[in-house]
Amino acid sequence: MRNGRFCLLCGGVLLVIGSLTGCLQLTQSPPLAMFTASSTEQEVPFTASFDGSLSHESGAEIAQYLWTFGDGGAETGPIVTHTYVEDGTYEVQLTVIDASGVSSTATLTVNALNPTPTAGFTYSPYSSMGGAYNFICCSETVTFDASEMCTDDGTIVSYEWYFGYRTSDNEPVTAAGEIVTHEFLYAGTYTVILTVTDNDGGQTEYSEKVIVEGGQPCYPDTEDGTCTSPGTCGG
Amino acid sequence: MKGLTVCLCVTLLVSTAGLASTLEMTFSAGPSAVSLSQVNTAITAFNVLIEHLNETFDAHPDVDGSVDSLDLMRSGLALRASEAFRLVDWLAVGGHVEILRSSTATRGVYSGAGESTIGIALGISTIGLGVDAHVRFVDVGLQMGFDLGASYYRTTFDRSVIFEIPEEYPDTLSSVPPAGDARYTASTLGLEFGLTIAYPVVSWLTVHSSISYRAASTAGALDSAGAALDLDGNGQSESLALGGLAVRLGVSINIDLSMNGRKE
Repeated sequence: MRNGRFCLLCGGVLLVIGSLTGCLQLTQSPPLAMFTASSTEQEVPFTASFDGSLSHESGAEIAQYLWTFGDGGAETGPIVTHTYVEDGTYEVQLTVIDASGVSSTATLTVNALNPTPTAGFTYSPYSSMGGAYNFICCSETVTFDASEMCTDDGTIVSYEWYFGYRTSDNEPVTAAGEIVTHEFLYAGTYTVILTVTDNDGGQTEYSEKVIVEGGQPCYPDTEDGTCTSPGTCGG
Repeated sequence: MKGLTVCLCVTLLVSTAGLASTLEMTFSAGPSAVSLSQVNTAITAFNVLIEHLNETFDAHPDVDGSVDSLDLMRSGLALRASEAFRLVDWLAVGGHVEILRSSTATRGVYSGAGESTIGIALGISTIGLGVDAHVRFVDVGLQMGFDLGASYYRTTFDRSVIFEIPEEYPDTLSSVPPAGDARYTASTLGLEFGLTIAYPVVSWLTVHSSISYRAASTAGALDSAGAALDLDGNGQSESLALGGLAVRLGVSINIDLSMNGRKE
């Protein structure tokens, strides 16, 4: 009698164990979503390829690869490509779904960069004396022109010039505008830097060395403000 | 919770001692399966990345080296000490302490423009403290019974990860295991069911074998800074599923505690 009761009890416990084990086996392991991207930071427009074949099935075979690219685009398949045309930060998401309907996702951030403007300038007058650099004379009015050499996919909203030296108050000598003029009072080599900014905030710097000839400072010394002793300028 | 469990064990053991006719002290050891399903999913992710890097650099002219895959943490060694008071012929109650340990590791270097090391070492240690009951339903020389227990589990998980990808790697991976060393701890309560076959060699010594299933899972293992365990760096913390089958071989020493000197 007692053994019969024990056997019933034992059977019940075995049933519980079996049920638990069965429940555990019914719990599907999700697949593992993983992918590589050929590029995650580049100026638009650019095309990146995404490879989800690293994804791994834990149980049933992976049946679907669903991609979203963060800009409204979507694709299916283990290997896809996508072109970003607008700058911004996008989250690429891969969802893999196995044959039993269990899914897993992986994400990666893509930075589509605003294309920076191109920058450059010309200046005049200058004397080409051969060699690497152009020469201008001290106290000569030099016109710096960025109107022809700067381009952008949008609009350039500012041109900032730095003429390569500072005042006695240690303030940088600068100017703003597409076309500016400047007079260098001392002979020397100046690195003139132009910084252009477009309407998206993209910035580009362009610099060029300007050599000013003349061994002495050349100050206006006449009533009409002209300089009669421009050092060695003009020979 | 830990203190409560200890008090419960002590109270049970002391109170039953007065009723007991036999004290059975048992020492057993054996392999123990442990689910650790989410941890093993993370290990699978490690291995997928390692295999991918091995394949990539196997064909790369400027990079040498490979890294071995990690073994999954699906089994470990369990050591158990328990004592039980046999209240009647068919029923004994008692307490136990069990230690379960499992680990896995790999290390390798890719040599290209620089040296990139991948070194991963994972280990889990669990101490279980619990109360249990043993019901004997067959006693024909060979004894057979089932066990039912409840345990408090204190789990420590150690993670040491170096995962340096050579600069020659041309793409960007969606996730890379976060590097660093950390120790995570968690506690939980669990249940254990099992069957035991025992053979009394002499009146005071029994050899036995048992198989049992442990049902326990800890969620939210945290390190000293309060950060959750996230092995694969996917932003989702892994739970420590301690469920699994354990097979043990052991011996019991039976001590007669009866005041009248009755022998079994």
